[in-house]
Amino acid sequence: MDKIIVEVCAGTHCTMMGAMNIMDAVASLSEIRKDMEPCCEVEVRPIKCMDLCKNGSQGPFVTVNGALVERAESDAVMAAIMQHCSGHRKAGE
Amino acid sequence: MRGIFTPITKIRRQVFTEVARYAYERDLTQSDFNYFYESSYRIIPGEVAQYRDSVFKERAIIRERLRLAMGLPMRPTDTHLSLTQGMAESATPNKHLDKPLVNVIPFACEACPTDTIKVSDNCRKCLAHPCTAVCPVKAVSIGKHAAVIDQDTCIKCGRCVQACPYHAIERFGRPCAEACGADAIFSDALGRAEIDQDKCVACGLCIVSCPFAAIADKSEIFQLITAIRTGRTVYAIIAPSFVGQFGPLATPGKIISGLKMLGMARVVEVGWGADFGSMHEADEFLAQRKLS
Repeated sequence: MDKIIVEVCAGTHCTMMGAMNIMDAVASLSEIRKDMEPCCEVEVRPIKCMDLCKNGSQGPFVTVNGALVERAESDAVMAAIMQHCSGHRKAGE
Repeated sequence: MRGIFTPITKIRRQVFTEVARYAYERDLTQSDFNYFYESSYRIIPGEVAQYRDSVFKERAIIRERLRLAMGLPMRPTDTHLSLTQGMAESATPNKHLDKPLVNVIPFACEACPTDTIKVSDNCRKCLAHPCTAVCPVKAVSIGKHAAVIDQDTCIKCGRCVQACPYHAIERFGRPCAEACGADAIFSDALGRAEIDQDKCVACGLCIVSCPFAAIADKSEIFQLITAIRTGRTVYAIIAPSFVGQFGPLATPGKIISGLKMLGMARVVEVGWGADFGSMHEADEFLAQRKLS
């Protein structure tokens, strides 16, 4: 089974801009997706500040298998997860 | 929308961030608040509207929210008043909030219809059409494609809503008015929500219910930060609900430590005062019993 790792920055800026809500939303939506596409497992984890907000970029910052999503919202993160899901890609072909 | 992170939460936090940042960064000896002229451009950047029909309107709303977050009243829409009017005077820890605490930003209000009963696309124009039979005022008739409710006659009894086998008749109202337990929301001349301040108890339910972020409350965040910066002893008296406020990762210990790091001399849960109140009441009760 593929594992998709979603890392959510839990620094002050990102938390204030809704990082925790993204974590909750992605975790709960991933539960539903697991039934639809059992090929992938999504693991959501908070990580320490990525320091990206210091250079003027806007959070929340989320990486999906290492690919960065800036100004993340839960739907953008879910879209990135679906791109990384092999079963979903095949179904779309 | 409580518990869901929406653009409203984001805007609210961005406004507080602007106010807090200036409270921390400003030169305390100066009373220049020009910083706030730039704030609405930082929160709403660019030329394309993100939330409403125009960026100008978006920024105008942000400016009123900034004033409220500074603890100031909104400005009248029909006369000129500087954004920073009153800021210098209110920038002291001695300033306390003036009523009204909860404010509808009139031009942010979408003037949603008040209590309405409406036939939706689900209507199949069925043979039985019980909606017409149950109406006590004959406001429901069968039109060309669906049942039609004459809004002038309808008394909003809701019988047709109950009778429809397809759930095609819906009742809806203004989220703000529906949330208000004090029946304090009425309409102004333009059909926009307005708060009867004599009835309002400032509970804030309309603020969290409005899907257009048209209702905002005043804050004392600026005055609080100024108090800390000028060396006053500040105690945080927090509601017991703080436990659930910041999600499962923030333990009560972390929140209390965080508040102390912000500069609070001590953090006390508001229930502690209630405990003392109860103890005092109990003593008084016992003393009276002994006397009689």
